[in-house]
This record gives sequence, structure tokens and C-alpha cells, in this order.
Amino acid sequence: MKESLLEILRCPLDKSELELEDAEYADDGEEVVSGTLVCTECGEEYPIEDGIPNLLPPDMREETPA
Amino acid sequence: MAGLSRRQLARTLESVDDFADPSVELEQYLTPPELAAHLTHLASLQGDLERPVIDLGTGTGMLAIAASLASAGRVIGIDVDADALALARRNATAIDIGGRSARGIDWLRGDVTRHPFSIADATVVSNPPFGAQRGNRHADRAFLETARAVADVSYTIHNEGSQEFVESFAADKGGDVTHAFRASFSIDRRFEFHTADRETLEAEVFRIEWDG
Repeated sequence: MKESLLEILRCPLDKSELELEDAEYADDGEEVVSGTLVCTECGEEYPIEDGIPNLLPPDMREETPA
Repeated sequence: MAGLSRRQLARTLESVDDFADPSVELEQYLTPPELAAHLTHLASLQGDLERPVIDLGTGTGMLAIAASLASAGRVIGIDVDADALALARRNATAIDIGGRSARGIDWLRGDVTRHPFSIADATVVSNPPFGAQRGNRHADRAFLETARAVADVSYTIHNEGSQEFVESFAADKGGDVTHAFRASFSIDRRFEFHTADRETLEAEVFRIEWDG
């Protein structure tokens, strides 16, 4: 994902802003290939896996394993 | 060049691969290239691709890729299924027509009905589950709810006979159906409950303008 996507992404649980942590970037410096999105309100963590952020609500993660 | 012609777009989209192992529950099937080209061509003419475009339930990525090739700036494809997203990204990466590519699309895993967006002026494109499966009736209603929340304008594909439902839904929620068209297409037999080798589906597409 591109870091600018964060402007329109929110925590699916409480719609609060997300903070990008432990980001690793692709060679072009634009694509975030891994890292974690953390809700600034509830602290829920959403992983970025292979460049794709997983913003499923936590209760849906087990039902649909990657 | 302002954009590909509708025919060029449809031809290019024919290289988008279908699901290898489609989910019945998610009603996964390939949105026909012709229909995707028609829809995004109209969106382009209406100036709707100048807004961020969000493809709800992107599946193979067909509509997101079509929007991207039709010169949309920012395009986002969201799906609940990780395998679909991997396929969508592969499909987007494979396309390169005269330097035009669909690689700039952002893919996102999430649930459309509990969406992670904070935007109110997007253009939504979506081929939602029709809710044709038992227990899943009007799954498309939930997708329309999200479209209303995040979009100024939406383009959604529904099954035959949805016009009354879509128009009354839009009217109730401060929306206005400005365009409607039909498309028929055939898909290969893929699920147990399909009785013929090829099924002909009649689809209806609606452009809705939503009040702020």
C-alpha cells in the first residue's frame, strides 16, 4: 500500500485514525510492503502482509485465515 | 491520449484471470470485461473517475483494473478474501498496454459491511454478491449502505429485477438513480446448483448520486 492511503483509512471498529509502525518500504520508497497499522484510540493492531493491509475486524480474522 | 476506447478497454480486460477455486458463499465470478468496460467508460464520461475510486468486493480486480485503465487517479480495491486479493494484484500487474498499467491500485483486505474508510466523496464501483444464495438475500443492500456512506456517486451491478429495490433504497437514503442499463452475459457452469453448462445472467447496472 502507499503511505498516502492512510489519509482515508480508519480502524473498522471505532473509525479512529491509524498509525503506521515498523514500516518496511519497497525499493521505490513509496510502497509499504510490511508493517503494522495501530488504532490511535483502541490500540488494535492491523498487520500489513505482503503489501496488503488486513483491516478485517479482529473477530473475522480467524474465520477467514489467509 | 485521454483514454482507451471502450472496445480497447474491453479487449485489454479479457486478460484478467478468473478465480481458480471460486467461493459459492461469496458468489465469486468474473465480472465480464465488456460490462466492466461499459461501466467505467460511462464513469469516465461523467467525470466520476476524477474522484478516488473504491471497488467494493473487488474479487478478480476487474472493475478496479478497468477504472485504473480508464484513467482514474487513485483506485482502491477491497475484498474480504485474501486469495481474491492475490489474484487481483496478479491480474493488475500482468496488464501493460502502451505503457498504461494498473499497478497503482491499492489493495486492501477488509469487510465491506464494516469498512475501514474515512471518505465521503469517493466513486464506488461494485459488483456485489447478488444475494441469490439462500440466507444471503439482499447482500447487495449492505454494499449499497457502504456505497452511500463513502461515495458521492456509485455504480453497482445487480441481478435482473432489482430496479424497484435499488430505486426505493436510493430514494429512502437520499440518493438518486441517474442512469440504469441492462447487460446480459453468460458464465460457465461453476457451482453445483447451476444446472446448465452455461448460465445466462441478466444484470442491471445503476449509477446513483448520493446526497452529502
